[in-house]
Amino acid sequence: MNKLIKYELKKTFTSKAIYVCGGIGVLVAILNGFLSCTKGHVAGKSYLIGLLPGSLLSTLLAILVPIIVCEEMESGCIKTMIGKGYSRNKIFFSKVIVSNLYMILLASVSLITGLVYAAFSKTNFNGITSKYILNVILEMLVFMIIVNLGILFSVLAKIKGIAIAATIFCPSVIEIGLLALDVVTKKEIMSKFWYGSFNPALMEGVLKNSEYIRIALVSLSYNLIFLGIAYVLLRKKDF
Amino acid sequence: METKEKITKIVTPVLQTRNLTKYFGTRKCLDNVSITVDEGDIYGLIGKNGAGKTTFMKACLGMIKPTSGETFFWGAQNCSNKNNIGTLIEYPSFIGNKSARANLELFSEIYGGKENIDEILNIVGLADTGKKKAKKFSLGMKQRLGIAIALLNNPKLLILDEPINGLDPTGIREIRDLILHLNREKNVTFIISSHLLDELGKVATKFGFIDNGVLIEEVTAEELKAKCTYKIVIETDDNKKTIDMLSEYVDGEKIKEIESYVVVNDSELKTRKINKILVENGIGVDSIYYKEQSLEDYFIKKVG
Repeated sequence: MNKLIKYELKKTFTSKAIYVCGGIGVLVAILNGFLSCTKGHVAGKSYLIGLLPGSLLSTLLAILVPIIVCEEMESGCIKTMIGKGYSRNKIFFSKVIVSNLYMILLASVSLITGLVYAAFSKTNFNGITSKYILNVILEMLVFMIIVNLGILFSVLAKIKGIAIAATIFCPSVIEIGLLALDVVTKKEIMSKFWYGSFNPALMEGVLKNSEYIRIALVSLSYNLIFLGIAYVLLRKKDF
Repeated sequence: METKEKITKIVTPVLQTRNLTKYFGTRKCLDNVSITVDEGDIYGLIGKNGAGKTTFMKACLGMIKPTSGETFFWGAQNCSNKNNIGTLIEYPSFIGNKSARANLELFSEIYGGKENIDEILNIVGLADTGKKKAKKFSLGMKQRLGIAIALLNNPKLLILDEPINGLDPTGIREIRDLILHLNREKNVTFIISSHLLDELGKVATKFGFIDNGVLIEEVTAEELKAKCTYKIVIETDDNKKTIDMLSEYVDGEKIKEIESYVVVNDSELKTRKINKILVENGIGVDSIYYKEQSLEDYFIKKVG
């Protein structure tokens, strides 16, 4: 497993994709900082919890994760790996670990860039409590859902292009469907249970404890479901 | 005790499959295939397109899960010794955006053999490709890169699926020489599938004929040579009279007129005797010679 993780890290850090995505993350964070902090109106705590949802992280992850996961399936290298005795389990979990590491890395780059910019703009960070930090952690848990969804579509499609398109567009299609369902049933299914609504809620401010628990549990469920399906599919897949 | 260990070591096959069967839906693609590949063998897997050669290789290696049956590498069923195997299945697999060396360096992280990268690049003739990306390689170069990756960590068994596909005659010869070199100098065992039968015939020491997922015959090169019957080809000025005359000595079914030649399928009859019969009966003989049945002829006879 360690060898596989080392291989995945080496593969990605010697490719352009990670630097392009990282660069875009930095630029968007600077742009956000410029738009939010220049006039000095924004409160530091609101700025902090709005940094990640306001970045392009979901799109960047939807591009980067299928690149990481599909590479071996598309090129056929996964056959050689299996032929050399690496089990599907090890290959799968190494990709899950590395994909989530990249999410944490990109999120950290966006956060640090945004915070440094804000610090230079003399933004006031008073009043930041642990709940604001919890907001940021839960936002990252939501991004983890996008990572795992990307893994699921990569395993399903085995082709980068299709997996990227599916990771970007499928959630939007589902969201539209759920919105329509909300209108028809006059119930708030989407805002309560669809992960796409979590980050907008988290970036608004401190929530009730029950809301935090709901978001955390539902996010974890999404992560487990997407990973579980991807895992079962990969185990059954012929290469 | 020592002798017993030695004997056990000698007789343990590199690869052994027992009743390997694979269904894709309701279609049976492998039907109870049992083969044995011994150390030092160059095992040629022969079959038509879609006969099940690649499916068999993939099932052995775990790339597809067999419906039933067992595979043993060096007598063991688990994956512990699979790092001694190098594979090239269907098409060469590599990261297209990286150079040949970068690919080998990357894959050596998981397969090992970092110290042999220069040697491997020299062996496969890719040492001078520099920073050229693998996706820009010619078909032959890609094929050689696939073999180079398979060679990482000095494998004891190489499973190559159509390794000379798409190569020009020079490339085919290079790969053939490489296979023979590795087999003779490093005692690497090979399982090779190819539809270029004459090429396979030049290197293989054992053959497995597979058709519709069934292993129809497994023979050594020596056995195959003995089985490949000789034909006598005669060119005369009167084929009809030749056939009539020879029918008195050989079963008529063994004599055929093919194009402008008379072909006799009888190894008992000698050319000098035929020549004598024909000349004594006033038939002009332009040429008379033995023609060995090729592997291709044998294959076609076997699988149609």
